[in-house]
Amino acid sequence: MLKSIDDMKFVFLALFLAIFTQTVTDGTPLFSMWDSFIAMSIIVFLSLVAKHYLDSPLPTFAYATIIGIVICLPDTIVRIFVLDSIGKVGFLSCCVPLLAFAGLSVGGRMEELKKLSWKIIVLFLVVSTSCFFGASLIAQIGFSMKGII
Amino acid sequence: MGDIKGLKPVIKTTIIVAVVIFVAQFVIGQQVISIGSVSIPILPMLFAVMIGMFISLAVVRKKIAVWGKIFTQKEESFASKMVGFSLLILGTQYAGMIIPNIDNIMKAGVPLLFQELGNLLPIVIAIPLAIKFGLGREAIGACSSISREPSIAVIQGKYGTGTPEYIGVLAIYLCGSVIGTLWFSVLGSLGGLTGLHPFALAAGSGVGSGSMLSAASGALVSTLSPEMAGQALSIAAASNLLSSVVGALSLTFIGIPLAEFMYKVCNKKKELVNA
Repeated sequence: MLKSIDDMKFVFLALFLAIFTQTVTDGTPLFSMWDSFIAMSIIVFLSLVAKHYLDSPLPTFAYATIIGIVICLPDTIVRIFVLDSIGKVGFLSCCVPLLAFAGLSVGGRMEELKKLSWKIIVLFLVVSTSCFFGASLIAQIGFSMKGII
Repeated sequence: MGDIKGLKPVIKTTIIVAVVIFVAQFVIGQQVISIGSVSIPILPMLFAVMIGMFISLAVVRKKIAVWGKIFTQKEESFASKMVGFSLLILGTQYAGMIIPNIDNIMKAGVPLLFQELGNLLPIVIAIPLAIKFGLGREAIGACSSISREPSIAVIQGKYGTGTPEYIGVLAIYLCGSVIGTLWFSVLGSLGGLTGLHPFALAAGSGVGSGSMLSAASGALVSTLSPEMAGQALSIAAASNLLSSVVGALSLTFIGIPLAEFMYKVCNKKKELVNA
């Protein structure tokens, strides 16, 4: 529990950067997104606590998704507040800081990659590409059978 | 005192990231590459990851000494910690996408479960290639799945630490951690060219890690209408959820046996050719 509270300062920082990106993108005033800040903070906090007490192979961000869904399933005022406020910050605005951090954290490790043979890198590209298209293909077939697409 | 020391990398990294965001989002913005009649959008987030990777390269840090002093190991490890926290924010975003589309997701549930079978494709394609490359049993670890955390756990449990299979899965894991995000945003951008439906590609976006998911699905939906984008993102998130739940099971009971089989078949062929 204490660790979850301690972690929240990093969550606030990540949230601030997502909101900052939204402002840079379309000029939405920073402070008009205060409700997004609160709604997302609460869901993330609950997910940190849940992960702490109910450990499973699921990553913590999956907990955030599941808890967000559970909170919003009943048709209450909470649902309207949460959906509205999360919607104010665009999905891509949350991706940009994430990928900036991801880039910064891996550049230094390119050396490790150099030590591996180029063959491993080719294998990774083949493995991930075939996973991506393999799953997409099955979904294409499944979705058309179900009439979703 | 300890606290102040700990705060410095936080402040430095935050400023650096804010600048990277500003450059990627505002200065560069979204660009489009047109090849003939096909146009491929290049999103600011792709620039963000590329700028980040470039400025954190060891060579760059060594060449520009001032920068090397500002961006040290501490800042790098803080950035890697923040990836996890940024993912949590994204987790709430996915919830916001799934709720309005919950009926759709329920309908898509069964096909998404079977989608795990699509993850077996690398076994058929990559294992023969790995054996051509001269890999031994490393091929089984490297090519039986996309090699994220659940796969490492399964391979470690089955073959043990330090075995060739374990080294194989770790090598692909490392590649995925370093270039996976970049590669998945490329896959997400180019996927549409195959003619597959955006919803199907969204399901494919969910096969890997959280950053791979965000990179591929973000790139994928940038050209869709807001309504379609919401549906596609919700499918991507559901697919990723299911992959984390079902992935380890399908690797244990289908993936590894199939990989062992392919390995045997390919090696026999190789022996025959060599004989």
